Amino acid sequence: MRHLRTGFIDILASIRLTLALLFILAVLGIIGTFVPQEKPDEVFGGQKILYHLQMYDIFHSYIFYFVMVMLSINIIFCSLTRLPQAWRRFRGDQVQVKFKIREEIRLPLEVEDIKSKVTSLLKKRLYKTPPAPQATEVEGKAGLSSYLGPYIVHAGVLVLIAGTFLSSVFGIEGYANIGEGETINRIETGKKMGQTYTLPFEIHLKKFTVEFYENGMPKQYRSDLEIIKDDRRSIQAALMVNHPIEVEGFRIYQASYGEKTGGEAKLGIFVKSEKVGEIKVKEGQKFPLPREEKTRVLVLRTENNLMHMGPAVKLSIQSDRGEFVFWVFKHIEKILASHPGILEEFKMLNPRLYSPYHFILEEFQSNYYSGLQVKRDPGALLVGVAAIIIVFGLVVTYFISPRTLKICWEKDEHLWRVSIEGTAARDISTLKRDVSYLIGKLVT
Amino acid sequence: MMDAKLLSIVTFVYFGAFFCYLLHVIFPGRWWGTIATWTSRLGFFAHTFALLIRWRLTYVFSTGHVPITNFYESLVFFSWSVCGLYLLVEARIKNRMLGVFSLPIAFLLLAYASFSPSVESTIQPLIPALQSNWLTSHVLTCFLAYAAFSCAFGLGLMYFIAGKESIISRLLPQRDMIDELLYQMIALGFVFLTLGIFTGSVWAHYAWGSYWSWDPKETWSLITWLVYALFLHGRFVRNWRGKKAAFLSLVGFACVLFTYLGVNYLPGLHTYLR
Ligand code: HEM
Repeated sequence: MRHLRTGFIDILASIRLTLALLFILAVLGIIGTFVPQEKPDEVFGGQKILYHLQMYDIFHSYIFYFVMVMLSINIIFCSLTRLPQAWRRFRGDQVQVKFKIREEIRLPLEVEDIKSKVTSLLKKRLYKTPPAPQATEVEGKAGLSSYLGPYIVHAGVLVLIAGTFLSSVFGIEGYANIGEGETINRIETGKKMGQTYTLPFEIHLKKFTVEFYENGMPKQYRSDLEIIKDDRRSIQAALMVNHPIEVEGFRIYQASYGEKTGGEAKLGIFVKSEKVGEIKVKEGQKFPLPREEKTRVLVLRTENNLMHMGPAVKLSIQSDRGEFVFWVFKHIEKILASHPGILEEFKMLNPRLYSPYHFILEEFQSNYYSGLQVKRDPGALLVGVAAIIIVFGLVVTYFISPRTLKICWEKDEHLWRVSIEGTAARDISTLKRDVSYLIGKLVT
Repeated sequence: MMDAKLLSIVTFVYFGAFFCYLLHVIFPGRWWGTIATWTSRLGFFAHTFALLIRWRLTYVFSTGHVPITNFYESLVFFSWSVCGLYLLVEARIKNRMLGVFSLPIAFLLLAYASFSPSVESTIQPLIPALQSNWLTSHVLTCFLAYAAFSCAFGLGLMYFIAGKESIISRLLPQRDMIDELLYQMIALGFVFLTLGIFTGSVWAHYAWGSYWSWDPKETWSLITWLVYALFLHGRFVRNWRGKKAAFLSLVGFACVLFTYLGVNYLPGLHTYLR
């Protein structure tokens, strides 16, 4: 019975298991990128097996959770069984030797007090030098903390797994599209169609603004929000991409934006250069043309950013001369400056098409909605801490080199014979540098 | 654009350097090796200069950003890191053989960037989500990792060739040395990839509201990370050396390439790079 138990523990602590688990995780990852990760509405035949194996949501499947739990157990057992040895090495009670160096130099007899000189040089290279029994010998050790590096990394991995677990079990994530002037307190969590979550506060969108580059790509967009808490107190906040805001444990992100149809436009109507009218219109609206009462103007479309050339409205003029359809751009001067001759080529873009009338889009008020993502992620902090631990552990493991140096010297008729012996456990280059430093300083 | 022109010249310099490294193998002796080293140093210098020009130009044509924000720029930076890291390694091990494997990688990446019609080289302004310092550190660390893995890949190939008895194999450094260097490269790459994944998560946390969303590129970077973790553990604890290690470095590099290029053909957030 005891035998069986230690055998079982050996397996749980074995690296062979680690290799197998890491391999399985990689395979699950590969499956997860080739099998589409969305739940199909209906499954047929072979798909049924995949479905019941949860292959359509593999990163939240029982198999995946099982592997993560096994990995955690594996790390714990493995680290516990090996930590004592690593600790002895860290304390310097046990020396691990992978590389060896030996050099010998001769110094003139005038050089005195080699011991204190060597000791101080070693100290400068961060070696610890316990008092040596002999007067003609100094021994030093450096970089032993590197031995603890892997264990720091492993502890970090455990914290990481714990953090992701918290996130995926207790996290809440949802979306909401909100128009200017609207107030919401429900978000769609999207786990099932139409499922919503009610927030403990209300979000009111006062104003949404978007800036564009000259080529029409969005440069920055922001929502001016008012968050109204339960007790009716409210806070003002400006939300931008990459700058989420935090409210009562929830984070609100500027995820996207879009346009509702029908912005409001202010049109100026001219005959030759005399202004004959000014009117505010919306999409679908019809109005009589000033001074030509029988002629009707229909607003076919209002666009906030047509073909990346800014706001525009599409008008249709129905007169006894026939129907005239054209676009009126707000930034017509700019368009003409960069595309001279465009009006001759495309009649549809000419605001003077129905001469002698001439239309100018004086103001345009678009009807944006702001796409918010609202999230509560109790694991994020832990994951961040884990990341720092892991990176720290890796740096300790790989950028610190455990090494020892032993320097002995003896009088040889008319000079000192100094021998330098070094060993390193991980890489030899640091040791080599130390040795040449030492020799350089001793010889001069 | 001046930087792009300069870079297309650097492409030829890299090819020349590769050719010299090859000649160095065929006609051992001092000359070709020295020429090869100085050619690649010259190329690297011009490459660095071109990057700086482009960086400057982003302030003229846009709001200014470190030039690693689109596919073209990432190829250029990848190539730069491979060449730079190789030159460091060469100076450290005092052997030029790896040049035969590394320079062509730098050359191919840059040639693809400079001459493929599907790679857009103009400076584009940044959409809001990309305006983040975390993104810059993310891309920087990822490509340094990729460069280290590329060198490890070259070393892996070298290991296999060094095993066959031939004229070439006598010129190669000892297999033990290749093996050790391969390990160090992968360790270096692993540290940077870890940093790259974490900085990427921080960026995603601020930009998308989720530090990890299992999109294909994220998933593949994790797969790559797992493969190299497998390498490190197999090596450290089960003593996978030599052929096994070299083989894993090839597998790992295949994963790197898939993470970088392959996933663009799968849907996901990172496809903005296209
Ligand atoms: C994803 C999870 C893991 C990561 C990122 C990780 C990372 C590392 C790293 C970076 C090293 C140093 C390797 C080297 O010397 O080059 C290491 C060593 C090691 N790992 Fe892991 N590890 C993980 C999981 C595990 C697990 C599950 C085990 C459990 C058996 C394990 C056992 C070991 C051992 C025994 C060493 C050698 C320790 C020593 O130097 O004394 N690792 N690990």
